[in-house]
Amino acid sequence: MFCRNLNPAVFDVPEVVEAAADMLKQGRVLDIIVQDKLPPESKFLKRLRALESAENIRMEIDAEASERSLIVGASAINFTVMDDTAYRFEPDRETVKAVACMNNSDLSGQLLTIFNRMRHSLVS
Amino acid sequence: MWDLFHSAWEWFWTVEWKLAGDGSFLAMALGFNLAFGAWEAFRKNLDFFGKTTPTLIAKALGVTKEQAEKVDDHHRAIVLCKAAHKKLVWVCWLASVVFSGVSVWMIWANRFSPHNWVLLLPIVVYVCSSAGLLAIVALCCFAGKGFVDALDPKKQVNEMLEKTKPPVSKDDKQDDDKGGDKGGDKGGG
Repeated sequence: MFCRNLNPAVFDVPEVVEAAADMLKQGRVLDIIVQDKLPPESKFLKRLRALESAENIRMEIDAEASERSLIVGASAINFTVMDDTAYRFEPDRETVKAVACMNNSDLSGQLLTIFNRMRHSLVS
Repeated sequence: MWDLFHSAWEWFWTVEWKLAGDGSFLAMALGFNLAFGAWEAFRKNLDFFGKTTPTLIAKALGVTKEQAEKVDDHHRAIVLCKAAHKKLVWVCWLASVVFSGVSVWMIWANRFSPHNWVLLLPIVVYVCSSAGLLAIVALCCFAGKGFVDALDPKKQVNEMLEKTKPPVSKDDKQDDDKGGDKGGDKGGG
């Protein structure tokens, strides 16, 4: 996932929280790059962190990433890649409208490439 | 000369109206429409009757079929955009079959006389409706494609790919020129 601030309007929706929790329970990896600071009262994070301490799950969150990478700081999009074929892409985060497609391996791969480049550009 | 022309004229109308009068010509058109539709349904639209719709959503969202049926309209619309485009084409095809059927019925019911020009109307209706529907189908295809393309963020994703492209060092460039590692970071974990 790449987003600006884990917007509660999107990520604190119970269905989203539980979907992410279920995903982690299934042993899948959750990688998140957040440009700004993490929201202190995020239900999404609380639920996943509670899970993190209780079970052996794999989750990585890079917060305040804008300060550590020019590429990340300059990006005004949000996106999520679910697997080899599924993605959610928000071209203009100000309008909070996204395109979701569950069967496009090309774009999923490209978004994953973008995510990996962003991660590699982060200065620790 | 006039007699010859008149005879030819009568012969033409006799044959033409006989064909049209018993509906065989237009029945062929209707048959073709049905055969075409059946073939297309078999070839690429097996999900037309909703077989794939819940399956598609279920697969897309990682939920059961029962849950997929309860997905809200907004998400359903996004997931099913391409399927809807296909169905739009099918609605047009169905309309064209109906028009053909109506034309056959009109001709059958009117029993033409070669001297009654008013009865040319069914032919005109058939030709115009077929052409009109063809235009509608074409328009829907273009509009549908435009709609699908508008939702496809390929261009924006490509722009992002360019923006995030790491600078190529001289060494890397030489490796590439020699046919070195071309895999890059595509498909990384």
